[in-house]
Amino acid sequence: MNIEKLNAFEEAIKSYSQEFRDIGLIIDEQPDRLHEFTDLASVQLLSRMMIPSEYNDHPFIINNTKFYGLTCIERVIGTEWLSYGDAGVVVGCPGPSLSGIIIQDFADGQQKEQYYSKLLSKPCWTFFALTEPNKGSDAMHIETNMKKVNACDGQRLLNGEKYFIGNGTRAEIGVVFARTTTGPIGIEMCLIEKDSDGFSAEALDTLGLRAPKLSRLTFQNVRINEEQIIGRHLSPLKRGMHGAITVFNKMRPTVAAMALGVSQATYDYMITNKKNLSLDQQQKLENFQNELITTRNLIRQAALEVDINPRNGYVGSIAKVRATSLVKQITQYALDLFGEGAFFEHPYLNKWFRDAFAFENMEGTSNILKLNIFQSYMNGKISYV
Amino acid sequence: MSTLLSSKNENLLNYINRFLEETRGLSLFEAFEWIFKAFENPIIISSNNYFLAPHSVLENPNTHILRGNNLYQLTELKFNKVNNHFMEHEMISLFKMDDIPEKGSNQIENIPLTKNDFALFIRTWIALECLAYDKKLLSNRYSGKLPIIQYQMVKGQFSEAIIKIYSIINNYINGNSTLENKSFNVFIHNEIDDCMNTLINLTGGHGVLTETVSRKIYLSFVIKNLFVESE
Repeated sequence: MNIEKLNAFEEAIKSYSQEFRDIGLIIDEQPDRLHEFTDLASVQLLSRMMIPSEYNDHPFIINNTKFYGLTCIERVIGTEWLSYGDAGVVVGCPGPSLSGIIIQDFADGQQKEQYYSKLLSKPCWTFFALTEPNKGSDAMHIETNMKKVNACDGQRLLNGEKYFIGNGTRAEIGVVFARTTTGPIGIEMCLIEKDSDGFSAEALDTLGLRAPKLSRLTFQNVRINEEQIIGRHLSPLKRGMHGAITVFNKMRPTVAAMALGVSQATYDYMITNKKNLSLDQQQKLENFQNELITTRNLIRQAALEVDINPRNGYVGSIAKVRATSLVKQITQYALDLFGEGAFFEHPYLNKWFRDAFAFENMEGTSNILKLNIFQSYMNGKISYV
Repeated sequence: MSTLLSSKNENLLNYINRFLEETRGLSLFEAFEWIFKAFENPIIISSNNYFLAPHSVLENPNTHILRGNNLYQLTELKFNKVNNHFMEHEMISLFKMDDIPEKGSNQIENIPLTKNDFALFIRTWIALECLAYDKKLLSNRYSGKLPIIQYQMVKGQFSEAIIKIYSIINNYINGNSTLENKSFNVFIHNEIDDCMNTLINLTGGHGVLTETVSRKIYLSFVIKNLFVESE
């Protein structure tokens, strides 16, 4: 993918952000209304991204180039500008998202057919269920389990709970991580449809990024057939938690891009709507502009690195730590800049302030990512050029 | 309480001490009530254009609003409720005042508690509550065999929050300036912001749920926005 094509892609994606901005506040207040907007061109576009060509005959086409959103660099560019419109709607949109990466990299033909046919028949939400109420960063010790019922036919029963799952109450299909035995390779991924007996979902009320309606999922004796185990054709070291790590490395720059999109939107709002800036305020905004450029460069570099080698995650970690710090600083400063009552007289500033807190917990907290960066340094993996 | 370093009125020092002691573990609206009901007749401390009040205080016909050094009876003011999903759970309502008369029925020369004092008290209270919540949460969550609170980076973050809170209170009591100095007031509240950002990060995913600390942290920033004049 050459730079001219990517530039054309970026310019085209920018034109879709206004549709997200137009509905952002509505969906923030009433997340259930997202169903009313699935006909929007921007929602349709996002819902088809990350569906490969074998299944997708409606890719995003710019100047005869087809974009499927399968590379990280496409995803960070697209996500940044759509999040500039509204990050909540981005995360709340139908489409593959995190589970799409699992399916693309680890699923067999039958599972891909099952998954993608659902996504293409109508706007279809998906979920990626790893986190549990008592296991967030400590994903290696998840407790949701899949125990064999019958040694002959490989059928299992899935029991447990997952927490903070995006689109959990509206998803038709998704990926669940569960333990089959002790130890780090004792975790498997399975493909589950919403109408499975014993599967229930309940929405949680969140401060920001409300569109995806983070949920609690509960599994009570959900029957899992052998055919639902994702990556069963792969060695144990190449599936299960390896899948989760792959997803995080590939999607971490995308989360950073979401935070950047919100930061850029906040910056542009300040520049457009605040006049007669003092010298201090001008200098502060100039500083933010430099932060935006720095963070964008890091995110794009991280995306290019991940596209070359998905195991190269430290640049994504660096980018995300910076992006999540920036978005909080800039959204909080914007409220200070507009003075008394800004929280209520500038609804988008209120929303962006609330959304800013959510990115910290997606695809690794800053503490975990700093450990990752440190480990990469100690292992001699960091390259500055 | 008095110390050799103290330059503040002893009544005010006793007041902040009592406030923090007596409201520990209470709900946010009870903390508001404590401040407003500590006067002979309840007094709600407003910003230039807004005030926050627990429902119970508004129902008292003797309640007054203190705006700057002007004391208004509720009947002297026109105000409308500002609806906000994230504050309703705390049983605190926000109101915007319109057409505010230049002078209230009374003027107070020695204001017992300014809006800057009020903002600092409540925000510091929220910080301490969130710190206590995070301590409880992370003492009972495990990563591997250790409670998360025992991990070095987490201990470091807790200490950062404690250093900020301690510095804020110490600066308020022993500092060379007062909150009426705009620059000093902004500085103190920026310290509280840093503390809030650390605390919500510590709470992890639970921090984004409205039923946990996020509502309080939201309100802390709302109070700053309404009561603290930025530079």
